[in-house]
Amino acid sequence: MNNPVLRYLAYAIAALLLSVATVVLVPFIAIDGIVPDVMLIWAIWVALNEGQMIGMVAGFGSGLLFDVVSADVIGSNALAKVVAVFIAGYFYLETREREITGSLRFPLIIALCATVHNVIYYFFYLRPTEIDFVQFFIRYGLLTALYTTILSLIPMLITSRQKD
Amino acid sequence: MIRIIELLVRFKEYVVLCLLVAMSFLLMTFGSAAKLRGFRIILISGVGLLQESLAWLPNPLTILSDNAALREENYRLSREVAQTRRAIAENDRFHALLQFRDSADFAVFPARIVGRIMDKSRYYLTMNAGALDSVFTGMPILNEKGLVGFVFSSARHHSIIQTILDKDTRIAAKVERNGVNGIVAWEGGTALYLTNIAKTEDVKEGDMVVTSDYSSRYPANIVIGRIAEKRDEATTLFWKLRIEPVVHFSSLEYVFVGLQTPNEEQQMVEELLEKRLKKGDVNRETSTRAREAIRDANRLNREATREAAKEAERQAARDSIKNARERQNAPKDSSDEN
Repeated sequence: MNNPVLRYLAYAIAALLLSVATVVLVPFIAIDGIVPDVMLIWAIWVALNEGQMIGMVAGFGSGLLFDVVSADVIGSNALAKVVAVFIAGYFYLETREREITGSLRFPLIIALCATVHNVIYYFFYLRPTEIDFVQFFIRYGLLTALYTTILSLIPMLITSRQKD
Repeated sequence: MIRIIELLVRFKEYVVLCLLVAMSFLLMTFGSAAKLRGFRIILISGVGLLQESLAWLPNPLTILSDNAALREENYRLSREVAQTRRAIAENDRFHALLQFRDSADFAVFPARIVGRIMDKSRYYLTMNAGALDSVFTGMPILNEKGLVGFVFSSARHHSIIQTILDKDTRIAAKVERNGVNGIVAWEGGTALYLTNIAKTEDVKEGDMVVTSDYSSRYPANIVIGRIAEKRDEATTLFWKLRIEPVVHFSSLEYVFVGLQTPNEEQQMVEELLEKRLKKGDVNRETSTRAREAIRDANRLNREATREAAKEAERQAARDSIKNARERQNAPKDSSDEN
C-alpha cells in the first residue's frame, strides 16, 4: 500500500478492531487473569513499519483509548505506550521493515518494550496503593510481557510467510 | 530562530516524545475522570453490548478451571451432606439413649462398643467401660431398644459383653401381653426361641417378649424381642416360638450397663436345681442334648464359683486399700488432736 493516507486509514481501522478485540475477545484467552497487550503489539508494529514518530502517536492514541475505557488514571497507559514505542522506534530500518517484523527480532523487541511498558504502567497503577511494586510486577508485569511476546509470534509468522 | 527550528526538526522524535510525555503527565495531573464520565459511559455501554453478544462463546481455559472448581465444590458439598446425615442420625440415636437413661428404673452407665469378636457359636462385644467405672462381671447390658447381654469379664477400662446370641443363653422371660412365662434360648443365627410355652397358652405372632421377674441376671421387663413365628410341632406339647431380637447387634454402637450385680445365690440355687432335674431325667431323656445341658450346668457352676472367688479377692483388695488409707490418716488425726 503505497498511498500513505490509505495506509494510515488501514492502521486506524486495525486499531479500532484490535481495541474491540482487546475488550471482547482477549478475556477468552486469559490464563489465570494474565492477558496479552494486543494494542502494544499493534503500536510497535506501526513504529517498526512507519518510524518512531508515527509509532509514538499511535501508541499515545491507543493508550489513551485504553485509559478512557478502563478505570485507570487517565494518561498512565498513554505514557507507558509512548515510551515503549519510542524504544521500539530505534529498531526501525527504512526499506527493511519486513526484515524486522518477519523475523525473531520482532518478538524480542516486543519482549523488551512490553517489559518497559509494564514497569511504567504498574508504577503509576500501584502508586496510590500500598502493594509491593516488585512483587506485583514479577507476578503480573513479566507474565503479561511474556504472553504479549508469545502472541507477537503470530504477526511475525504471517509477515515471514508474506516475505517468502 | 532558524537554528532553533533546525534543532527541533533534527530532533523531532525527541520533541514529539517530550510533548506526548508532557501531555500524558498533564492528563494524569489535571485530567478529571468526571469530565470523561459521559464518554466513558458511552464506551462502556458499547463494550458491554459487544461482550453480551459474545457471551455464548466458551472459554476453554475458564471451562477447565471452572470444572475443576465445581468438582471440588461438589465433593465438599457431598461430604457435608453425608456429615449432616450422620449428625442427624447420631443426634436421633443420642436423643433415644438420653430418653432411655432418664426413664430407666435402675442406675445405668453409658458405654461405647469398641470391638466385636465373633466365632461360630458366640457373639462378643467389647465396650469402653470397666472396673474403674464400677462395671463388674455379670452386670446386664442393654440399650434404648432392649436387652443386649451381660458383662462377661471386665478389665480396668474395658469389658467384654456376652450377647444374648450365645449358646449359653437361658433367660427367664415372659410374653408382655399376658405374662406367660418361658425361657429364651438361642439356637444359632440372629433369632432366639421362647421355649417351655405350652400349646394351651395364648401367644400370638407379634407379641413382645420381655425379661421376667424370675430372672436372676437381668432386671424385669426389659424387651428381648418380638415373636416372629409360631410353629406347632407334632412331637412336642410346646409351641416353637421364634423371636426376632429388637436389638440390631451388627450395628450396635452405644449401650448402657445396668449397675446391678446378679443375685448370685439365686443363680446358684437355680443352676443346682436344673442340674438335679436333668440328672433325674436321664432315664427319660437320654439324648445327647440332655448330656450337653448337664455339662453346661456344671460349667456354669464352676464359673459361678470362680467368679465368687474373684469377687472375694476383689473385696480383700478393697479392704486392704481401705485399711492402708486408714493407717495413713491415723497419725495425721492423732497429731491434729495433739
